[in-house]
Amino acid sequence: MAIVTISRGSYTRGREVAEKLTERMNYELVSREVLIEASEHFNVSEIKLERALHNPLSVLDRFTNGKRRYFAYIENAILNHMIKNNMVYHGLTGHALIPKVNHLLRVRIRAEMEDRVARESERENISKDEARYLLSKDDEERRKWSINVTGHDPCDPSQYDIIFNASKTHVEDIVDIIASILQKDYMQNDSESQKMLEDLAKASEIKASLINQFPSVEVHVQGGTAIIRVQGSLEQEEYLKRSVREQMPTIRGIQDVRVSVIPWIG
Amino acid sequence: MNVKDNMGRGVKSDTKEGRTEQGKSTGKILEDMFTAVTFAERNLPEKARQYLDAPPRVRTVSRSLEDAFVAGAYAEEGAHETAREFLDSRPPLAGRVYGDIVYWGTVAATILTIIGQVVTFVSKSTFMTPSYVLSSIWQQESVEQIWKGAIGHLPQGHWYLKHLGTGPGITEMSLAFGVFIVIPALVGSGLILFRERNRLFGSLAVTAAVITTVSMVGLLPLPVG
Amino acid sequence: MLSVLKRSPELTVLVLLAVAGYAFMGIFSHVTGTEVLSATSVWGIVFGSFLLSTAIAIVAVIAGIGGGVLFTPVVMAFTSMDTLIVRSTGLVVAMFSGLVSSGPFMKKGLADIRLVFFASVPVVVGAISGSFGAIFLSAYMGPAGDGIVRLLLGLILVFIAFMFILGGAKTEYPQPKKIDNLSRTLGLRGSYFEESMGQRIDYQVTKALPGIVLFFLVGFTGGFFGLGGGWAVVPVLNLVMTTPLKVSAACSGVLLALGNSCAIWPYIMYGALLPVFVAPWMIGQVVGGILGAHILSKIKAGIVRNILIAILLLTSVKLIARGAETLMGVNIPVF
Repeated sequence: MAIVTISRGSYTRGREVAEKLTERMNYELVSREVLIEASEHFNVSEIKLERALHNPLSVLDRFTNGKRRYFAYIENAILNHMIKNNMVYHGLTGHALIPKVNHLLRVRIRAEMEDRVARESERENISKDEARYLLSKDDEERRKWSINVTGHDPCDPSQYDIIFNASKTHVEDIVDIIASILQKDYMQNDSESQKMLEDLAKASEIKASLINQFPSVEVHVQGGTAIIRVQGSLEQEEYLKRSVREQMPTIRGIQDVRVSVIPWIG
Repeated sequence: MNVKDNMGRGVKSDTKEGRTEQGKSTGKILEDMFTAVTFAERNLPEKARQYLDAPPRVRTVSRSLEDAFVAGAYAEEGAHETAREFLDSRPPLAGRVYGDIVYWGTVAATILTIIGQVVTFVSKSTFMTPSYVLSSIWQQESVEQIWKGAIGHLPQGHWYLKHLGTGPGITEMSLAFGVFIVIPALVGSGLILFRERNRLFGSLAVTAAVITTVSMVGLLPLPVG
Repeated sequence: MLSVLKRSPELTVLVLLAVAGYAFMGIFSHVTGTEVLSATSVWGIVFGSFLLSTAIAIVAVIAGIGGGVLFTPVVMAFTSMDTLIVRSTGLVVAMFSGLVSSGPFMKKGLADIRLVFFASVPVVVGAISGSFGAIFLSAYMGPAGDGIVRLLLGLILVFIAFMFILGGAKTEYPQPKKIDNLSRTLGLRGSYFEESMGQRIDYQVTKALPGIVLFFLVGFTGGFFGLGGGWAVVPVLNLVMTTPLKVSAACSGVLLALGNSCAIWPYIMYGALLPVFVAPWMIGQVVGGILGAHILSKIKAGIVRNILIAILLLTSVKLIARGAETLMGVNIPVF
């Protein structure tokens, strides 16, 4: 009963590791599925979600919070899978969503640049220089994206529990090591971890349902209490609170909703 | 449930720290609230309401009732500390007095201004007619030129008091009343702070009121010849 | 809309009176036209000003940007009215939008009465100095004075717009690193009940002396330019004096109204507050201010705010250009 997030760059064999680990542990493999589910659940085109995940943030995005909405939808879809446990997620942000859950193993797969260049140039039928340029560009864009969205640098080792160099270690060996860790007692989820994860999922559900009307919304759930913070005019505090409560979805287990308005300067 | 005890402790510590010093009436209000909270705790909100509605506690009934029920709700959940903190942090009387005077004064000034506007348009007075004033502004005339065109010189002082029979006079008086309302609000609030032995901030409120009054009365000569 | 009117009986009275009043004025008007304006257009300007002021007040409340910050710069940038008339009207706009919001903040206990009274003295002294400065400049420097005012206001507006964009580096619950003696002696501390956290927030204010100087400057700027000062008061309270953001925002409206009330009197006595022109703006601010607190726009507040910030930036360009034109006698072709 564990969750594995695999963070990877392009052509690092991370996907291969994820697929083989899933097969070995009989877990659920989740990656692109979250886009489809988020797209269906929140009625947003998959292309927009895909772009939000992969394109760098523009100046306009930063000014208008345009992509925050899509991230919230994707986050909710990922967390809805995570609460079911026994799951391997590969792709960006997974590791940054749930930083302190006992039964989560955050894995980073990296590979030497020359290996990645060789693989890309072979698969895409392009020159090595071109492949190197594209990979460097992709790495940098992902790095910037991750810092902007999650506040964490994906290259920062403190973000992971274990890091593998796929150029040095065989994929099967990486899978073996991860699988053996997953069998350990300390990797089994306890009620506290599960509760934390469920609270995160509830918070993300609330956030996703409110973010369209309140782009600055931040949600924290603890036990049966949801604390919702929105930016707005202090004169409208009462109305904003009422409006948030009215638009909030009914979520099982949430008995108390507290709304706080963070005032704008004006 | 020992809500009453818990809240009692809160009030004692409050008094000790000198935070909520609302005079003798506070004790009575709090007593009312505690009784109401006790009723609310026993799921007898109607009885709590009746208790608070009964004279002579009409003064602050709605506010006390609201506070009592909120505190009661926290207490019922077992959050005695929260209930105590809620009661500790209720708005001070000086603030409520300032807020009430300013808010209702503004509403009254607005009503008077609307009346002044109506009189300006329907009366046959020729003093500062709307068409003259707006045309002058439109033609980029200065304040001095506009007044010279109307009465031959700049008005200087509270000119509207001499023209209270005209629409512009009533309108300006209403605007001035809206501006003036801050002074009684400062004084009223300051006096309450004095009564609560909060002399420093009471003095600051009165000082601000005095400076504003100096400005209003025109004790400081305008920097124009 | 009906439910909003039910919740606030005074708003119902004001709306009904205003609508009936302007209709009555239109029907029974004895106003005669001039060579410049017809009788109908005079009524149209007054009624239009009321509607515009109401709309500005509603939008200002929704977007959390004071009406006074919008009125003075926009009118000064895009019209050639005497700047003294614009500034005195701007003060009324800023003051009455502050007055309608300060009442509820004080009653709810969100605005710290002691902090407000502490800051009130430098603010009112600054405000009265500012308005005297404005009258002096207008009386003795004529068009050059107007040019200086436009140029300076344009520069201030650039600063304000960027502060709105960057959020003023605000901190919700700042903690003082060191408490100065004056703040400690004055007992500048307070608390409020934060419902969302279910607990009382205690705070300690610091840097009282720099605060006094900055509040004087805030008051002066408001009185001189006829500008709202929430953009300055909140950072002073929050960033310099470590007051929680919510308390800072609530205090700002109260202080603004206090400072402006002092600054307006010299304008009134100089005759710069022309009732026919000012009244619809004042009525609109009060009606719109109360109405704005009860309605949520269909358009997201953040978008409205960003549009207003863009308008402020454009206005600042125009103001700087016009100020430079007057002072240097050159023609700067800006929209």
